[in-house]
Amino acid sequence: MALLDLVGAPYRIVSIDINTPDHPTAELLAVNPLGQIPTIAMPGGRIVTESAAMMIAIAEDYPESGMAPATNAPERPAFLGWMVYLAANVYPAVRRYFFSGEIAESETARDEVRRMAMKELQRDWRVMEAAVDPAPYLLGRAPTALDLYTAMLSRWAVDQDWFRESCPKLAAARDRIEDDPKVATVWRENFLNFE
Amino acid sequence: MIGAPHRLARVPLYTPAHRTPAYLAVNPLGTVPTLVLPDGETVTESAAILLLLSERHPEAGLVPAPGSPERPRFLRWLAYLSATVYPPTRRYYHLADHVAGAVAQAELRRTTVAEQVRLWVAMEAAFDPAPYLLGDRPSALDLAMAMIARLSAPEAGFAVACPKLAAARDAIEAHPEVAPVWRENFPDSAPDFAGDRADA
Repeated sequence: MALLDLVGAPYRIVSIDINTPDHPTAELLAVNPLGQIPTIAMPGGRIVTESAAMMIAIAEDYPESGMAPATNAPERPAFLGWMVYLAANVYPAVRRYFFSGEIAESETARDEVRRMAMKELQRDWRVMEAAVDPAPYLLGRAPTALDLYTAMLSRWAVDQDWFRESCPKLAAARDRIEDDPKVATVWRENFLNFE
Repeated sequence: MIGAPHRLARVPLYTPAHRTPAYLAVNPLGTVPTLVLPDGETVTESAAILLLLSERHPEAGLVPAPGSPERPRFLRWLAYLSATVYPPTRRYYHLADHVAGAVAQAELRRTTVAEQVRLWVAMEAAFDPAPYLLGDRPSALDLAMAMIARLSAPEAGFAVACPKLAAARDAIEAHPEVAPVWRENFPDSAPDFAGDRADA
């Protein structure tokens, strides 16, 4: 949503309540058989799932927004590398932390899955912290979809004091993107730990 | 497939030695593979490497160009493979990283295999390979799918549960540029592939 606002794309939101017995509804399953959210229907009826894919696809549809560095831009390797890093490492750890019951049954095993997931998540953030050099955004002077994706994922699961203390560079870049009024509005609606 | 010159540095896996200081200096997470670009910049994450190399060699036609109608679908399934299918694929080989004790690990193995099956079956339903996933030309999506399918748990029964995907996998694995790489990297994989190896 924040990305759609930033690129200036018109959109309509369909809210999904994951806490009802009806979830996933037939309407959602019709567009995404796995019932994953978010799911986006792009112009022409093209359905995209997976947050990272959605963000890259939206950003590329609005090249003038600069939210995805062009394929020949020097920032392109870092952009793709970190987008996939977040999607394939950070996100699965967040997911295991919140949904440990999907893979472990006993209370003891669930606790352990959660504990190991948090350990892995903190390691993933530390590795990224050590590798980036925000100036002031993650890829340089202009914000990209990577700033949004990083800020979003860092609002989930990890202790916010831990994140600010252990990942000061990432936290500073996050402050910058969250300063954008369009981002702040979406964040206030979606993250209880924002402001 | 793109014809780019490269030098391969092998990293021995499944030994503590694979996370050597020299390798961690190139890739702090210690994951394999890592690509070092001509200017010295490193790129990790298989999907990012596939995207980047394919974009830099558009003449090979391995990814739909940004802005093209096929692009969102391509990105969706590439991300699905790396962010949704690959995590349980990897977890199966590292159960002890998640829970301790034989009972809990056996349970985790069971739920992990079940998750793999569910995810592959959902992808199977979304494709009609002809013979490749996106049509009559191979794409980076075929490579990502075939690689992760080769790593999926034997109990998940990929080829039986997903005949359409398995056919697409066979098609890309028979590609003359792909077959030698696969033979080298998956020598002990499924029996159907061992058959190919005997013929080679």
